[in-house]
Amino acid sequence: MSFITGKNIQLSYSDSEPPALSDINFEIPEGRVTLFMGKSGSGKTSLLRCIANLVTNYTGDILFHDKAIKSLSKVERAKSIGFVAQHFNLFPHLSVLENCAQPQKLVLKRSKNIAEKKALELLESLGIAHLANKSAHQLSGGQMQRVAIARALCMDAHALLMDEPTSALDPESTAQLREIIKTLLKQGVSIAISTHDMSFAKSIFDRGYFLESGQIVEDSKERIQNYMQS
Amino acid sequence: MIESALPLLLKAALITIEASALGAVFGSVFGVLMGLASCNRLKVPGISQLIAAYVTIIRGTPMFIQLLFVYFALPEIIGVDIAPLPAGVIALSINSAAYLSEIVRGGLNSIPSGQWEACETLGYSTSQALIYIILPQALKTVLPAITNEFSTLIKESSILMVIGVPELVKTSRDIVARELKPIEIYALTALIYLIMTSTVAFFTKKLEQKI
Repeated sequence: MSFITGKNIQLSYSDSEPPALSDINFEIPEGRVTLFMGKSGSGKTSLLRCIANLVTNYTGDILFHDKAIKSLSKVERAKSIGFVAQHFNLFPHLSVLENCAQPQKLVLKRSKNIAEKKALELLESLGIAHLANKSAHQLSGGQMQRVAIARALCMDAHALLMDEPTSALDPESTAQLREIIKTLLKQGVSIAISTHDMSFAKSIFDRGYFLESGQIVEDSKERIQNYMQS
Repeated sequence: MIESALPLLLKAALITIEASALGAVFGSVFGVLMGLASCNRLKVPGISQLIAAYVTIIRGTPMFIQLLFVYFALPEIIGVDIAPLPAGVIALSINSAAYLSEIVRGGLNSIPSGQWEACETLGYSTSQALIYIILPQALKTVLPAITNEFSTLIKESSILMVIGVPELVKTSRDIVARELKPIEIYALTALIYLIMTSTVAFFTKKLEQKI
């Protein structure tokens, strides 16, 4: 079943430049990982930002369970789709625990106890509960990423969008991320990832799209796998 | 002689503190509002241009003229006389609001857009994002500049003497005219200013460490 679908997405940042996205159609099925691959500037990050509703001036439709993502309230969107940015965007003045608990308290109106319990459960499942009281800016890249994943999942998001998740990680953290993704998939989280890291993409590939100059140039699983092998 | 001058100078210092503190409070309120309405993320078209024009006028003209305008010209426009101290407070507020709005705008613009985006994807409303995420970070950046502005305000309040406010400089000048002891009186006046500005710096430093 398709969880998130995009139909005829067109996006231009300025009239004088070629469109950033052109005639994009995609599906992100439930409980699977979908990759958006391509070189820098191919449009994969723009597409992910459209799905996260960080870019809204596109034409076409992006639907979440057949409802336009643009029409959802901020709270509904946060409860549906989590976004882990390339540079994680943790709140540096808050502790790890507060990074995960504060959005629940403010947006989902959870009590302090419930929000912190949920945050600690998720931090524990990602192996970083011992960092709960550390400041966000004291963490390594891999630790920051896991906090960002925990923060998104604390909002009960069913889908997780990850923009270039390996760009700031060393090989060890990349291997840990692979394990986290596999665990999340087992828990039924739907994941969409934009990446230009082919060895990482190959290691978690299930289905995906190749983008070039803002267009999807390949969506066949077999052909993408053959391309990755070569 | 110092014994007789000191109580008068301290009394005058209270008026300096009153004028500066009120100027700082009103200036901060309007400065923060204008800074918010003109920062990149919250820019209100039309309003932000008006604020830019206001800031250009205030920063490009002497505070002396602004004070004379408020005390002598404004009553003609509104048809109501303004007493010297309120006129001084209005002039200080107008002046500091312009500088503070630029400080606040700069501080807000220095926060990476990713912080706003994280708030957006987590479902924060704009006011929640501002109160819990953006302003606490921006405050840390702008605190030294705000301290500087408040210290400047204390020192610039001496200009209120020209419209007859009995603040510190006016009082010291009156005492010197009577006692003919400029070295002692002006040195003491300078010392009182130094204590006031150092106190502001001390508490701001404490606040800086706390956040």
